[in-house]
Amino acid sequence: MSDKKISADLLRGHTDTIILKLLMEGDKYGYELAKQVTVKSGGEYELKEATLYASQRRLEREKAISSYWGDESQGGRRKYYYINTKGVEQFHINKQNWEYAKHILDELI
Amino acid sequence: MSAKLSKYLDVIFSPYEELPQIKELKEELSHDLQEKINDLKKEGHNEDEAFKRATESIGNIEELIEEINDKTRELQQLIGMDFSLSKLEDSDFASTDLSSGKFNYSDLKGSDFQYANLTQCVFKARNLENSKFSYANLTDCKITACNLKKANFDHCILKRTDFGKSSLAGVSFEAMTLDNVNFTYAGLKKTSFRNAILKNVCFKTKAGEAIFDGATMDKGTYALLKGYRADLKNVTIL
Repeated sequence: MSDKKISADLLRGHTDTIILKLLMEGDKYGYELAKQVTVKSGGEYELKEATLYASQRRLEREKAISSYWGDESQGGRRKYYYINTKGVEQFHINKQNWEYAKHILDELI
Repeated sequence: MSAKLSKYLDVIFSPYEELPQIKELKEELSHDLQEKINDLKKEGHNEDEAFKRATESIGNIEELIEEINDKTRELQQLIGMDFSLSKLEDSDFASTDLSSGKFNYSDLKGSDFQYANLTQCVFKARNLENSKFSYANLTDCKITACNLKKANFDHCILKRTDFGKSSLAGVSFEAMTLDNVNFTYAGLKKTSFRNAILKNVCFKTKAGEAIFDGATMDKGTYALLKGYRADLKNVTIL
């Protein structure tokens, strides 16, 4: 139980990068992003709405991503997110940083 | 959207002002949750189970709403400052009669209003951080959407004073009498009403982190506070 919590904390630190990666594959709305995280992690990691929305807002403020409202008539409007050039750059930097940290940790642990 | 979900979201969002950004968050959340509930139902969960599972995994959404709220308020105060004709930072208004004055959009950070008569004064969207109001008369005074962090209100007269939408984090109203004061959508994180007397005070805001130890209040104020989940263990009801 506690092991899972530590892993979740570790993963949460990379929420921004995970979202950027998913948006590089195309525009998505919040629940779609959360669903992809669950599916891609084989059900091991569930992104909470609060974490997801906080990350979306942070990335929007940094101009890494932008959003627009869809025009669905049934079941309420969806808010879609798409990645900007700055977001793609940020993803690559984050990924490099992660690979670097992973390399060091692999040596140490 | 189901009536149950709509009601659930109304409860979460009710202590917050309907700022456009917060309304958008609510719309986004309601759509995402509804779709999540529909998916859970497709997986074989019944209506109640699906609702429970979907809402339990939201996480701390209130923290996010508060962050949006604070950011918007800061922005309002910044815009206000840009348009101000005068920067009145650290000004000294002590003991002056400023009744019915308007102080919209000025930066009054750290100003001194001690013993001043501020009856019917209007302060809107301004930065009043660290200001001193001790012994001032704030009867019918409107101090709305202001930053009042670390402001001092010792021995003030608070009658029909309107603190709507203002941030009062960490402010002390200890052992004071508050008569018909309005705190609608005010920020009351660690705001202390210890041993205060509260008469017809409107607390339509998130009151869970305010301190009410030893306070005395009328039934109406008590009922409202209870609804907004305030800690009312050691209070006396009139």
